[in-house]
Amino acid sequence: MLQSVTILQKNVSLSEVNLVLYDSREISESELVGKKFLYEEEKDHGNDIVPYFVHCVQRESRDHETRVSRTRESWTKLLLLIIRSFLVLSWLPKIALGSLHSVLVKRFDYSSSALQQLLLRITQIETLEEEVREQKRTLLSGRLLTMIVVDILTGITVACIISHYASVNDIYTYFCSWTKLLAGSVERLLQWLSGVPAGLKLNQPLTQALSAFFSYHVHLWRLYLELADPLLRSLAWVLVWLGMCGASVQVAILSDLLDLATLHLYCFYVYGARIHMLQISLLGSQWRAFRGRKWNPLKQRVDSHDKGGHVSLTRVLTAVVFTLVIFLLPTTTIYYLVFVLLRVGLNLMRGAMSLTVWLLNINPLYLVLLNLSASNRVKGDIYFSTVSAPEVNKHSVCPVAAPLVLHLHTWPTALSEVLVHAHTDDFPPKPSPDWKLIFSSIMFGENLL
Amino acid sequence: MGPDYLMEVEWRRVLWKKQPFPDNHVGDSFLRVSKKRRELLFSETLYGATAVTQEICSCLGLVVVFFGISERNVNAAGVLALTASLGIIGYILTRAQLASSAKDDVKVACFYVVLIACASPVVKSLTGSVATDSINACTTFLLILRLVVHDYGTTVAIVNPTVSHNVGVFASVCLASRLDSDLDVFTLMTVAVALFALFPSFRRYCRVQLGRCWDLITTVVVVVCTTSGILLFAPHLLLIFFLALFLCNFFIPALFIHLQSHKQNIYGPWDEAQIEDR
Repeated sequence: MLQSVTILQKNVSLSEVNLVLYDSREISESELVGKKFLYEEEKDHGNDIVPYFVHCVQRESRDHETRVSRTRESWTKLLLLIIRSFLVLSWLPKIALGSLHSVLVKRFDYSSSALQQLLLRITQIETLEEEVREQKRTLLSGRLLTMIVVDILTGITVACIISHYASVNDIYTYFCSWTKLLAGSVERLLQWLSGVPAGLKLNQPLTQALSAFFSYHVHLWRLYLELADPLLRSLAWVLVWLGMCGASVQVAILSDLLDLATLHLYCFYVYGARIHMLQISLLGSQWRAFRGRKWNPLKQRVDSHDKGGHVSLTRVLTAVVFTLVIFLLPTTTIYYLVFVLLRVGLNLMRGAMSLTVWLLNINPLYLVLLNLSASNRVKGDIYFSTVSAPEVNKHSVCPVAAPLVLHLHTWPTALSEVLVHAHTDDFPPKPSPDWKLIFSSIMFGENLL
Repeated sequence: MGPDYLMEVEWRRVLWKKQPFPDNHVGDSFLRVSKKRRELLFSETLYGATAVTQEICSCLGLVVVFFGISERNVNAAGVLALTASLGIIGYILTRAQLASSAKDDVKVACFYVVLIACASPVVKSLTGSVATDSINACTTFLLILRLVVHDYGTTVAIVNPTVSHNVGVFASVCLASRLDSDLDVFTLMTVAVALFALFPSFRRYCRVQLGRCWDLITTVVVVVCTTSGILLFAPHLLLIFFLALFLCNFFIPALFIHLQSHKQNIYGPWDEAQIEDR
């Protein structure tokens, strides 16, 4: 039992003393406590001594932790060696892939998700290397390590399962036959459109011309596939071995292959969208001109406009163009609708795949497991509970001053906050589609999906 | 000074003059400010109705030509030659009046010809999927719209010469898409352009330059031509034609004059400003 307390040779009254019982391991192992109760050297924590207390405990434990276990040190060294050798090996491929990616984005405006995923994986390993190098076991390094290991294991498992059923050649042949089937069904679709699709009566010369044009494209596409066969076959081997890098890379490669296989549908969509945009803009401007009005871009409003007299070129042109566009509107709209629907469907599939890749990239499995096992590392909250001292009642003849006895407990932080804490810029943001942009690009055809 | 003096000076309804009356004095001339209605003569309204008559005749003329060509009663080339010659004659007659140079006019004419010739094959198959009844109803509605918004020389809010011209071309495309050969389509569209774009300016020239009696003579000529055309090619339109003529020339002007007695417009010096929206 506490008798007396002296600080700097002065007796301190017991009633002003707060005794705190704590488990030093809980506080020293947790990273989040120090972040929540932030200790700043310059500020005076006179009224708020918890940060100072946490800071002192953690400093003390760091000074005492000179003797690190041998096994842990050797494991860390081995891990660092593996990571460093991987980074050295991947230095040249990284530059090559990076330049290929930038060329694709600049020239063709196409961002290949497989290349993105590979480059992202390399940057994540670099971040991991930085974290491990400092000999600390941070939450972030644990999360990255688990994510990479889970990814690679899943990738290798999937590859083993698939190779158990079919070899690379079989897969490639299956892919080729699937693309030929797709081309055949597109041709059937175009033939259906050139007749009387869904009972709609389209303008026959126009619909037959459009259908012939698009069928010729499909024919060219088939020719291209047959010509590029040997090149694609060797590419398939490379892709399969790349897929060993992880399941996310495999899904990304799948998404890229889907893009490649439906390239002709993308071309059709672009043609249809351009025609549609031309039609809509012509319709708008000619409708206004029909009534004798004009859009005034300076004042952003519609003004009246009498085009130079009774017989003028623009007036006749307006009348004829408006009539033609009005009558040809249903036909082109049907074609555009069909291609837009196909494009939206493909985009939905691509979106689902990129969502899977994102989930594999921000895999919070490590943190969830830590949270479930109530480990000390995810405990970030502190609360005090009072401990009643029973011996005070026994010996109380006269009321004697007793110190306030507190027990310090730590409490796990919410999972979302832990996720925010163990986060770097290497984690990609969630792919969320811009619905307004999508709607306006479907309606007016100015931006492409 | 006394009441006699007050009687001598007449109260005028003006605000800028200092008058020896109290401010709330209401004199006799308070309400008699301007003409409540004009006195209209029946002959004036008849003369004004001739413009509408000519327009009705040109609209029906187009329909007659369409029937003639589609039933193979007339030769398309013949109609084309006739229209071209009439157009050239009219151009020579009104040459002095026009503001633009001859080169510009030739350029415009060439542009017309090229445009309509290029559009003919497209127009030929434009309404292949639309039923004949829809085409007939559409054309009727469009021609009536054209009559309603045409510029007959008055400044009324409903008048919109652009719409009337464009609607006329639209109606002619609707009709022309029913024909079979390219030359037929070209002919009909040329006739439409001549009737709807060139003929009104010719009429305006007649009315302005040549005076009333030439105008009346032109009207009579046009009516006779249209009647003969209808009798030859589209006899089922005869009744409608006469009904329209009767309505336009006798019924509506009589109604107009009869209703003048109910007109109550009061025009005064302190009316609101009318903003011209043109």
